[in-house]
Amino acid sequence: MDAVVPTRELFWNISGQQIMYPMLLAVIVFFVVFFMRRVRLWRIGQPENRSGHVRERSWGALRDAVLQLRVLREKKGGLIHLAMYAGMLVLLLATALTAADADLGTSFVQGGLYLYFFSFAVDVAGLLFCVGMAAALIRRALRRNAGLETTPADIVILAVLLAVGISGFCVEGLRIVGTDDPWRAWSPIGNVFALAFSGLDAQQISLAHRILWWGHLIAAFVILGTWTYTKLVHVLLVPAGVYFRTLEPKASLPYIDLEDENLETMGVGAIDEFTWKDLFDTEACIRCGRCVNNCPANLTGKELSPKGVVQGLRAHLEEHGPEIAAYRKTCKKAEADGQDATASAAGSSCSPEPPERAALVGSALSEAALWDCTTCGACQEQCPSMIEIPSKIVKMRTYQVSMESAFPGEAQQAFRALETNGNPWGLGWQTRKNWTEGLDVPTIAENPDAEYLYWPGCSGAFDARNRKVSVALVKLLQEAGVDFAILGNEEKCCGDAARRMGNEYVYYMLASENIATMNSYGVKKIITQCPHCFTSLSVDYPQLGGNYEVVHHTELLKQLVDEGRLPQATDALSKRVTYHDSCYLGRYNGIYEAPRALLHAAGDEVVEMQRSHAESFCCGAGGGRMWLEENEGVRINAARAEQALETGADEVCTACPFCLTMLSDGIAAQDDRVAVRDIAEILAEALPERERRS
Amino acid sequence: MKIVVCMKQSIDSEAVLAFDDAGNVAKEGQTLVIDPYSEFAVEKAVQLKESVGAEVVALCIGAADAVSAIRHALAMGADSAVFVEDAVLADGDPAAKAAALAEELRGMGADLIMGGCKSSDTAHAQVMPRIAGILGIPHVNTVVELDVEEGVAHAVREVDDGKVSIDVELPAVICAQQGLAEPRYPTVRDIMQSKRKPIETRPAAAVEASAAMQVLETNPKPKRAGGKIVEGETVSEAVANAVRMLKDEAKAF
Amino acid sequence: MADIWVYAEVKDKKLRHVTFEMVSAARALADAAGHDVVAILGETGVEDMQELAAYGADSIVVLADAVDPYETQAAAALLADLAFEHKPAIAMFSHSSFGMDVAPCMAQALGAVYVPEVVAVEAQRSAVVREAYSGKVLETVSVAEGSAPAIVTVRPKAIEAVAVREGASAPEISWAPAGSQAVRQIVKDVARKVSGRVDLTEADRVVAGGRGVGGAEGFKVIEELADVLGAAVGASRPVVDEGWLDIQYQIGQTGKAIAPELYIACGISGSIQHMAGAAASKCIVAINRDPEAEIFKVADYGIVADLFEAVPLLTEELKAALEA
Repeated sequence: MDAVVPTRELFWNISGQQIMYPMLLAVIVFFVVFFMRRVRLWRIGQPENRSGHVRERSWGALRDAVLQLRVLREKKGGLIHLAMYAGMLVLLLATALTAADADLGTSFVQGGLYLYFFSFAVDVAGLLFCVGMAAALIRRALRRNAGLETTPADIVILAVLLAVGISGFCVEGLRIVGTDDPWRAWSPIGNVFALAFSGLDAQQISLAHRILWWGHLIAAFVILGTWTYTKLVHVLLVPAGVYFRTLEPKASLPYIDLEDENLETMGVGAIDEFTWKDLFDTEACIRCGRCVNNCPANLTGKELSPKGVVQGLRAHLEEHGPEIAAYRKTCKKAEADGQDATASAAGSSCSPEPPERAALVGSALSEAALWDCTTCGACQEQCPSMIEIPSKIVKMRTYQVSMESAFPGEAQQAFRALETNGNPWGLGWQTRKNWTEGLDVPTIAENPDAEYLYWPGCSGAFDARNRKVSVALVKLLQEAGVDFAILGNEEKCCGDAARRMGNEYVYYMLASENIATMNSYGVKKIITQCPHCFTSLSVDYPQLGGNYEVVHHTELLKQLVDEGRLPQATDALSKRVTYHDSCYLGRYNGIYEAPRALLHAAGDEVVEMQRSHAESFCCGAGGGRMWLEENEGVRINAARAEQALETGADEVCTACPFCLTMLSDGIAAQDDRVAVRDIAEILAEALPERERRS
Repeated sequence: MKIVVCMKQSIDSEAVLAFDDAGNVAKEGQTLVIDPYSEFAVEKAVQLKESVGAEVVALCIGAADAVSAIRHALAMGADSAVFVEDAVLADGDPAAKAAALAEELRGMGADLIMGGCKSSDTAHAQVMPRIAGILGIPHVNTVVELDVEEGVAHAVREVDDGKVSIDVELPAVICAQQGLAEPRYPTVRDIMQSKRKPIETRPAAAVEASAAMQVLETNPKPKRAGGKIVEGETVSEAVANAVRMLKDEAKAF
Repeated sequence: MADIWVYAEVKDKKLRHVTFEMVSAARALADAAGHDVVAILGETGVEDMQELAAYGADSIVVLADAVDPYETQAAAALLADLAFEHKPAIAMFSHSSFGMDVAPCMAQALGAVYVPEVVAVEAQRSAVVREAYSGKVLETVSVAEGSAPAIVTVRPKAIEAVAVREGASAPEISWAPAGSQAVRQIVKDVARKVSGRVDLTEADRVVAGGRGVGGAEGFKVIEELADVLGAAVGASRPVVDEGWLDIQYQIGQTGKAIAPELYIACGISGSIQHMAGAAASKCIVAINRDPEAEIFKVADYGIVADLFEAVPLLTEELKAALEA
C-alpha cells in the first residue's frame, strides 16, 4: 500500500469561491485610498527627518512592535493582545499558503507541514485567537481599566473577529465530519467541533458547511474591508510609528533659531505647524489608555489625559486638515501655472484665501490640560506606538507663551524673575554664591584649571533645603579629592523650566549666557545635582553650541565609590530606604541603578515603590509645574508621598531638588517621622563613621 | 488721543547694593529693570490704546543702558519712544528731572501724561506732580483706576481711608499706583516688533530747575537683628513660650 | 528766624499721633536752628489742639475749615500761597495720602525741595533722614534754610513724640486764607472704608497675613487675633494682588510703612519688598510653616507652624495674658 500523503481537499463542498479575488481587490483599493488620504493629511505638517538609521529603526520596530515586547509591559492587556496577535499571525500565514496552493500550484498543504502546521498549529492558533478575543471582550465588559474607554465599535470588532474564529472552527468540524477526515486527530479543536456535528446527516452537514463557510468568508472580508477605518489599522501604523520614532535623546525639543530675523512664529498654534510625524502619531494612537493609567496629572484628578490630547489633535486634523491640504494643493498648482506663464511675476501668493487658522488650545485640548502636564514622560514611555506626547505639549506651550502670552498668571512671576535675576525665585543674583560661605569652594575664576565645573543649580544655590544637599555634595567631592570649581554668581538658571513652560525666549537668553560664560572658561566637564540642569546642559545646550561632558552627581558618586575614593559601608543594613526615581534622571536619561547602588554603599536596604524605575510617578514639579499652582484634584506630591509611605520605608531618598522639595512637603503632611533626603546627604552623613572604622 | 508715559529704569529691588567712591549707590553691574510703577502706567496706557484708541509714546530720561527698559515699554505696546539720554539727570535731583521732562512734554502735545507715583529705587515720589505743576495742568496722584472719555479723565485715587473718584480735564497728569493695571508679558512677536519701533534720542534741554535736594550722605541701612525660633514640643507649647517671651523679655504688653 | 510749619493730621476732630511726632521732630530742628514751631490745622474744632504745645509747638494756626483733606490740589495751592506769604523754613506733613500729594505740589509751586517719607531728623546738621532702595539705604538730606522752604513728609511712628513742654500752652491764631486758583480736580465721590480698627500706620500693634492665609476667608483668624490685641490688620502684596484685601492694607514698599510696637506676621515669607515697609517694627513675631522662610531671619520671635493652628492658639494665649 502506497503511503498516503496527509492533506485535505481545498474548497471541499464549495463553489464560486473565486469571488474572493474581486473582493480582495476591493480591499486593496480601500487600503490604497485610505493611505493616500492619510498621507495627504500628514503632509500638511512640517518636514522632519525621520529617515536613515534603517537598521536601528527596523530593529526597534521588530523588537517593540512585531515581537510585542512593548505591548507586554502591561501584563494583562499585553497577554490578551499577544494571544490575538499570535493567533491572527499564524492564521494569516496559513491562509496565504493555502491560497498559494490553490492558485499558484504550490503544495504546502501536504505531508508533515499539513499535519504539524495546517492542522495542529493552526488549530492552536485559532484557539488562542478566540480566547484572546473573548478575554478582550470580558476585559472591556468588566471596565476595571480606567484608561481604557470602550466604544460600541470596539465591541463590534471584537465580536465579529470572535465570530470569524468560531465559524472557522465550525467549518473545520463540518469538513472533518463531511469528509470523514482520517487526519482529524491532528486538529484537536476542529475535532471537538466535529464531534458536535456527528449527529447530522450528509445533507445537513453540506448545507451547514456552506452557510458557515460563506458566513466566515463574508465576516472576514467585512473586517478586511473596514480595516483601515477601524482601530485595526494600528496593525500597520504601530510598527510604522515605532520605526519612525525619534532617535534623539528623549528630552530633546526642536531647535528654534532665535537669531533668525525672519522668525515669524514659534511653537505650534495651528495643526499644520506640527511636523508630519506629530500628525502621523495622532492616527497611530490605538486608544489603549496606558498613557492615561500612568499620567500623574490624570491620576490625581486633573483635566489632562494624554490620550485625550492625541485624540483631540486627531479630531482637529480630521476637521481642519482636508481644507488646509486642499489649499496647499491649489497654491502649488497656481504657483506651477504662474511660473509657466509669468516666470518673473512677483511673489508666490495664492489667489484663494487661506483657510482660517483654527487655534488648537481650546479646541483640541483645553488650556487647563495643556498646563497640567509635568512633562514626566510616563505616557510616552508606556505608549506602544511611542507617540511623542510631552514634546507636543511643550510645542503648544511654546506657541501659547511666545505668541499669545497666554499662560497661568503665576508663570509670569517666574519668567520675570528668570529674566531679571537668573533664578525662578527672583532673588538677587549677587547672592547666588552665598551658600558657599564657610566652605572652601573655589570659583572657576579662582581655579580655572579645575577638572570639573560643579553646577549646583538654582535650587542648590538658593533654596535653603537644597543648599544642604550642595553642602553634602561638596563634602563628598572634597573627601574624594575631586578637583572642582563653581561659576558662582556667574551661573544662571539652566533654563529647563522656562523652556518646558514654553518660554523659549527666556530659555535662549539664559542658555546662551551660560554657554558663553562656560566656553570663556573652557569648561569641559560638569557635575550637576539636578536632573533638570543635567538634561538641559547635556541635551538642550548642544543645540546652542554648548558641548560638555555632563555627569549627574549620582553617577559620579557611584564611580567614586567604585574606585574606592569614597568608602563603602561594611556593616549590616542600617535603614530601609525607598528611592524615588526622578523623571528627568530615570525615564529621560536612563539613570536608575547608580542611586540605588549608592544606597547600598551607604549601608541601606532599598525597598521599591509599586511605581518605580521607568514606571516611576512624577513628584509634580516637572515641566515648570514647580512654579505653578496646583489647585485641581489631589496634589501630585501628596499622591506620590502616599505611595512612598506605603512601602513602610524609614526614609525616602531622592536625587533631584524638585523631588526633594515636593516629597518633603507631601510627606511632612502625612507622616513627619519619615525623612526625605538627597542621596548625597545620605552618603555624606555616613562618611565620618566609616572613616573612624577604617 | 496721545498718551505720553514718563518712565524710568530702576535698580532691581532684590539687588545687593554697592556704593561708589563718592558714597552713592553704584548702578554699575546692577540688574536694571523698567520701574514697576512706570510699568503700571505703560500697561494702563496700552490698555487705553486698545479700548478707546490712542497713540502711546514712552518718554524716558536715562543713561545709555535705559534703552532696554524703553524696549520693554515698546514691547508692551507703546508705539514709539523719546529717549533723553542724560546719565546725570537720570539719577539726579527729582525737581531737575521733572523740569527736563516737562520741557520735552511741551512739544509733544500729549492729552494724557502718565507715570509712576514714585519709583521703586530712589522713591522720590514727586516727579509727576511737579510736571503737572510746571505745565499748569491738573494731576491725580496714586491712581488705581482710570477711564478716559470726551476729554475728561475719570480717576480713582487710593487714600488712607478709602478711595476718591476724581475727574480732571485733559491734558492731565496721572500718577500710577500698584493696582492700576496688571502689566502684561510681551510675546516674542511683540519683542521682535519692538525692535523696529522708533526711539528718538535727544539730549536734555537746558532748563532751570528749582532748588535741588542736598544729599549730605548715603549709608546702607543696618540690617535688623532677629532670627530667634521659639521652640516647643507642640505648636501650643511654642505659642505659649512665645507669649511668655513677649511679656517678660520684649515687654510688648 | 523763621518758622517750621507742622501741618496737623486730624481724624474725627482729634489729632493723629503722627502730629505729635512731627512737632517733636520740628522742635528738635527748631531748637538747633533757632526757629519757631507753628502747628497748622486745616479745620476748626479740633479738641486736643492745645496738646501740641506740650510737644513743643510755639503757636497754633487754625485755617478756618479751609482745607478739605480729599481736595489735595486746592489744599496745595492754598498752602503754597500761605507759605509764599509767611516764608517758613520748613513745612512738614505726615506721609499720609494727603501729605504725599500736597507736599510735592506745594514744593513745585514754591520752587522748593521735597523730601519724602522722613524717618529721622539730625537737628545739628539741619537735616532729615529718609529711606530709599527698598529700605536698604538711608539718605541724609539737608533742610537748612534756603531761598525756599524745604517741604518734607514724615513717616508715621518713625520718630518718637516727646512732650518737652508738659503743661505749656500756645497762642491760637486764626488765618482766613482766600481760596486761590481755579480748582481743576473735581472730586466726584469719596468712598470711605469705615473700619473699627486703628489705622495701619498709626497702630501700636499690627497683625498681618500673607499668601499663606490662602484666601479672603482665611483672614478671619487674623482678624480675631487683631481684635484681642486691639491691632490693625495688614497684608503682604500677594494678598492684595490676589484681591483678598484692598491695597490700603498692604504693608511694604508699594503699600504702607509701619512701625508698631508689636508686629505679628502670619504666613508671610518676608520678601525685601515687604520688609521695606515692616522692618521698623519694634518687635516682630513671625508664624510660618516653612522653617527656611526669610521672615525668620528678621523676626524677634519665630514660630514654625501652620498659621491656622498657631494663630487661634496665640489668640487664646494673648487673651489670657492681657486679661491677667
